[in-house]
Amino acid sequence: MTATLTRIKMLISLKALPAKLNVFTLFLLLTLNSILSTPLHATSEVSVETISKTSNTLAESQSANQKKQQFTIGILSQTPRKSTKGTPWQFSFDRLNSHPKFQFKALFLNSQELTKALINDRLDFVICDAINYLRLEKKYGILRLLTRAEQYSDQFVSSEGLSVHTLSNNSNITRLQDLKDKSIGVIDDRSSISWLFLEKFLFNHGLIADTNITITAISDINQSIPLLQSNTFDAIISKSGLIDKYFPQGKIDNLRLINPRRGWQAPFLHSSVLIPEWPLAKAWYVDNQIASQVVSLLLNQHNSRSNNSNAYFLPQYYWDIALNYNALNELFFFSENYDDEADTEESTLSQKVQYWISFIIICFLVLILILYLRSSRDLNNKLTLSKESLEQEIKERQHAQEQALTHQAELAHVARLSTMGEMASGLAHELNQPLSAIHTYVQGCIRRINMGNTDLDAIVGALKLTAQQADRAGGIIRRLRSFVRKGESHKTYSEINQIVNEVTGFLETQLKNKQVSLKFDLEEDLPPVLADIIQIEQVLINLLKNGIESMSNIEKPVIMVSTRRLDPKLIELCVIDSGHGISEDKLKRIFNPFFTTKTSGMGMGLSISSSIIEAHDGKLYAENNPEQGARFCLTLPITEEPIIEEQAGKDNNE
Amino acid sequence: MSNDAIVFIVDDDEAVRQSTAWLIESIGLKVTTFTCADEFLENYNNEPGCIVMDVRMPGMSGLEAQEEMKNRGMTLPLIFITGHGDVPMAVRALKRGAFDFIEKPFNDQLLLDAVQRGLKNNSEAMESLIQNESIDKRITSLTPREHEVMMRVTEGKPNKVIAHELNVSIKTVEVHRARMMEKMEATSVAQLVKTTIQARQNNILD
Repeated sequence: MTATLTRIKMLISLKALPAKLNVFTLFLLLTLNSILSTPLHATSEVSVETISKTSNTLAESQSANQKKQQFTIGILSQTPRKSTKGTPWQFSFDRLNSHPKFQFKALFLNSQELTKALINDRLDFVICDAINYLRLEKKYGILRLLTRAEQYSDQFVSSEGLSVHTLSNNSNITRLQDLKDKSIGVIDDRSSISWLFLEKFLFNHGLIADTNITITAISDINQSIPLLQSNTFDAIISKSGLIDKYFPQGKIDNLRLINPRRGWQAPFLHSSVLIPEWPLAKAWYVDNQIASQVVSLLLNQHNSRSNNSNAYFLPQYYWDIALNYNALNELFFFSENYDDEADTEESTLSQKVQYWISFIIICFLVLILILYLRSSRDLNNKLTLSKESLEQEIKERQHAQEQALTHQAELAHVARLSTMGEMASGLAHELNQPLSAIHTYVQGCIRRINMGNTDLDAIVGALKLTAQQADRAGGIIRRLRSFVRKGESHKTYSEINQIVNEVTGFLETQLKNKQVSLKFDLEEDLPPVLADIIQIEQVLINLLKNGIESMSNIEKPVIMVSTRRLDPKLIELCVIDSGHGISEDKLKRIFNPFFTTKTSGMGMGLSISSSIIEAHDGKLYAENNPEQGARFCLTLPITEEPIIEEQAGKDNNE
Repeated sequence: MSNDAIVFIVDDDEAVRQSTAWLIESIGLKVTTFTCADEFLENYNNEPGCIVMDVRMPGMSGLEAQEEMKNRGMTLPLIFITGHGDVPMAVRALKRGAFDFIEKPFNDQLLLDAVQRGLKNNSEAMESLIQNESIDKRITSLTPREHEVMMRVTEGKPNKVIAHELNVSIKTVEVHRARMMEKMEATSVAQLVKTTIQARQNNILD
């Protein structure tokens, strides 16, 4: 009583568990069952070697069809066979081999051989009973395509069941439980019985072969009735429908079906639940297209239904679409006709076994739960630790980034000083121009005054021009000082075109000296970019200087500066020269530090320029123009000017 | 020095150009300014004067302009001003016949002196050019016989020798000689010799 209650509880708890666990338990049950019931498979043991030999001979005999693509279909069978001829499979294989490109060959294998062959990838398709299929699907990922169907009168039945018959005058056996300690004959005519199904069916009624029930296979259906009548067997078990189909009505009258059930799926009575008929499954590696061709070939078999319907001696299997396997769950969790009479103090062996299995499963689940809890606690600790180390790493990275930024700014400053040094003579000349103009204007004034020429308007005009030139000189000095300003990065919202104008003013002398004509292609109304003006100027000066120097022996050198909006978020500035361009191998290295093609210079210019632009979240790249010369382009992201800052700026001004 | 003389200032820097003009105008000279050498070469119309030109300019540089002017047979004195002159550049410019080479910022007196010397040089050159032209005219007015007589007179040959060499009478030589002296506007043999030397120097006479 207690045991049963526990068992029911267990079943309820199992039901409540998530679907995944359910499947897992199912699998566990299957494995255990197959271990417990190995004696049932005592029929024949063909080694894998024999199979390979068989397949070799088959291959040789079919060498004529070598051009066709070969497929092997493994068929579960307790009795070894060499060909499908004379079996109900024949018609299906004829259909399959009617395909112009495919050649199908059958291998009849018992359950272990089937598994081995699948492991060795020797099978493309498998035909076996639904229970074996479930096992193989779980382990080897085979996939069911079709379900076998048999014809009973005018109906195609794709479910199978088991029928237990006794002689109608045998009053000892009225329920399935009564089969205990009895001798049973199983009709395995043409391997029609699903042994695992039978085993499971018996197990669900507390019957275990060779323990409390004796099972003997009868290979010839004709012998079954006489053996029953001679009391060799107390009952016979057959595939449902087989006896109805084979024996004339009169003989069936002598027989009584135990536990008769009727399902909508089949026109005959049966003792067990109905489970799906044997599926045809494909191995995981078989292409879906091939599988679909096989399906279409076999499904069409219905259409070309042979005219010998209802004839047992020329039987054939048909194929139907793959069925729902819910019926199998019923088989595994509830024994059919489970009644209270089983609920006696003398619990049957099967109940004991089931109890132990349940116990093991629960222990196992508890163990898993404990392990899971422990591992999750460990995992939590690990997570906290790694979070801390990650935070530390982020801090270090931020620090390193700040340092890198400072270094970059310092380096840029050094590079600016170096650039300034290189440009010193040009700058001296630029400063010389307003200075000499000032000097000359003033001397002109002095001379006029000395000579008594007192045209004051003219003299005032000249003095105004003098003052302008002094301003010009001051501007140059101011630019110079800001350019060599200490290396601190200070980003402001700046107009890129204004930077271009400033820089080209700076380089005017240099351009003039080298006879370079400067052109502009500046897009108007560009949005401002958040940039360190000095650093961007530095990059631009560097690019322009490089461009000018690259055209030292070019006739009519031209350099162009263009700005444009590349996309809604990027501004592009290009410096395009008409020089010799850059060779491919140099193009790859020009941004490397200390790489230079010039006789003077450190080779740091482009390297530093590149790092400056990268610090502005932009990119600096070089390419050759299709026609002539090279172009250096830089991109800068457009940052919307925040209104708050503008207001703050206004406030400060106020 | 002719009053028509013009100082041509060629510099691309407006401030330098205008201030230089302002300075040169202060001593009462006519000034015309140009922003580049091409503009000057296009507009120059054989006026007398001198040029003040920057060496480095976009387009045609000062030194290139000097070359071009030489090709065109222009003799205007050329004064270079430069902000960053070096010795090789100055040597090159002067070798090619530049009149002067002044560094910016320049001493005003230095520039004005150079300009005035240039103008003087130019006006003298102009004068000698006019003289040459008149000598050329006189020589071409001589008949071949008179030319022969003149060549022999300047070689110091007496009339008797000339008559013998030309295979004519002394009387005839005397007539040719008198006409030749008249055409060459020479009052003495010494003056004739001076004129012919000048003509030889200027390649008017073989």
